[in-house]
Amino acid sequence: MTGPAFACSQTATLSDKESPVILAKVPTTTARDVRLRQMVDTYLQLVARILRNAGVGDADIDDDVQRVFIAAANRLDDVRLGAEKAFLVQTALHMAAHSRRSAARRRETLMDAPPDVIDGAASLEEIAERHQLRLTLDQILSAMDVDLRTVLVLFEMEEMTTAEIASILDIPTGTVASRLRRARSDFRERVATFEGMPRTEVG
Amino acid sequence: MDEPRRMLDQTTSPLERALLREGRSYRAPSELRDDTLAALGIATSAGITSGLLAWLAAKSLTAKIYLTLSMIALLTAVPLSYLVLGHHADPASPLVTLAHATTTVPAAPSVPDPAPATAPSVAAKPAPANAALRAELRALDAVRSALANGRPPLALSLVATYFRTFPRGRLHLEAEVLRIDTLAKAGQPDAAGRYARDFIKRHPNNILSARVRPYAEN
Repeated sequence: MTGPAFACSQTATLSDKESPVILAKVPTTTARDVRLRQMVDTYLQLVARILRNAGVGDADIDDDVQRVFIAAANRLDDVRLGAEKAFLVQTALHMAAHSRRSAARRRETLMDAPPDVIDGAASLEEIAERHQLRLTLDQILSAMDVDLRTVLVLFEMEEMTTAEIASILDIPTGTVASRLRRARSDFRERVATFEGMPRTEVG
Repeated sequence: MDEPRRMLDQTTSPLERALLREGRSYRAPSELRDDTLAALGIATSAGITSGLLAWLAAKSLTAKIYLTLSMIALLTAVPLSYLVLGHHADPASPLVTLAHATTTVPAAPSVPDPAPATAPSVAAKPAPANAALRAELRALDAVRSALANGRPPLALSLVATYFRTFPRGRLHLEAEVLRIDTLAKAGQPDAAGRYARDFIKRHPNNILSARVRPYAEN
């Protein structure tokens, strides 16, 4: 099967302590579990962030995060060592697209979403401000073209390189750069629209 | 091609900066890690902690050896019987007898235990004997939880993961019944009926057959 998740990589994700020698001494199921556990520990927050910024509502994040890792578990034999991040990001983006379609059918609104994890040390004003920011960000991102939004999220929020994004999305780096320029321009215009609006209209 | 600078490093708009930071700072709840590992049928740190406490409370050397192997099984997901039996163990040894026992080594009074201790001797109440069975129970609990929360598609994914993770699991019959329930709730009554009829055919006298009979007859 072709695709970035299956591209050859020399980078192993297992530490020296979890060398192939040790893994060879335990049953295959255990090696899979070690790898899956490491994937969860390393990439769970990344997957959750990508899902959230790609349009999955707060109410569905937990389920979709689990579905992404279940999909990874079911396809683990096909994912080369070192390609776990790319596979999880691709799966998360597909899952988000599916979630958006399902939400559109259910006619859910972002206004109904429960708030994100609350920081116990934050004041009520800080919590309210963060919630407002999140709503604003959701509105801006959801109005953008999906391809532009994806590149913006991966580059500006996940701080991936254009080469990494090109590999994950299976597009040329020139296309990534072009989409990023258009995404930035679109994002700036939409933010400027919000900045020009009275605060009561935001969200 | 030069890598572009990040917007956050060059924007002069406070709102742009705040929005980008908000996008970068989203965090899922901490309990999602353990929930996800449970959904994958992988032991969590809670299971390891309870094993360690039981080890500290254990009185006999045999119990300590058994519990050590249980914790290794928990950490590596290798079934306890594999660790004990391997290729060398004497089937008549106390360790193997313990590994096949259906009761657990009793916890010391200081170890928190939801089930009340009834006697200092081995408890009569059946309880999970090893880490693999605990993992199976957690996996099926995750399915039930998804169904109870009205999420049949997730429950279906979790059931598939259970069968893949535990191809010779001890709770296969319960998992088959859960699969039938889940298929019905996921809007697949025909598939639920087929699985139910097959289950009844293979286990005509099992009490669980009564549970799935309504699906078979619809």
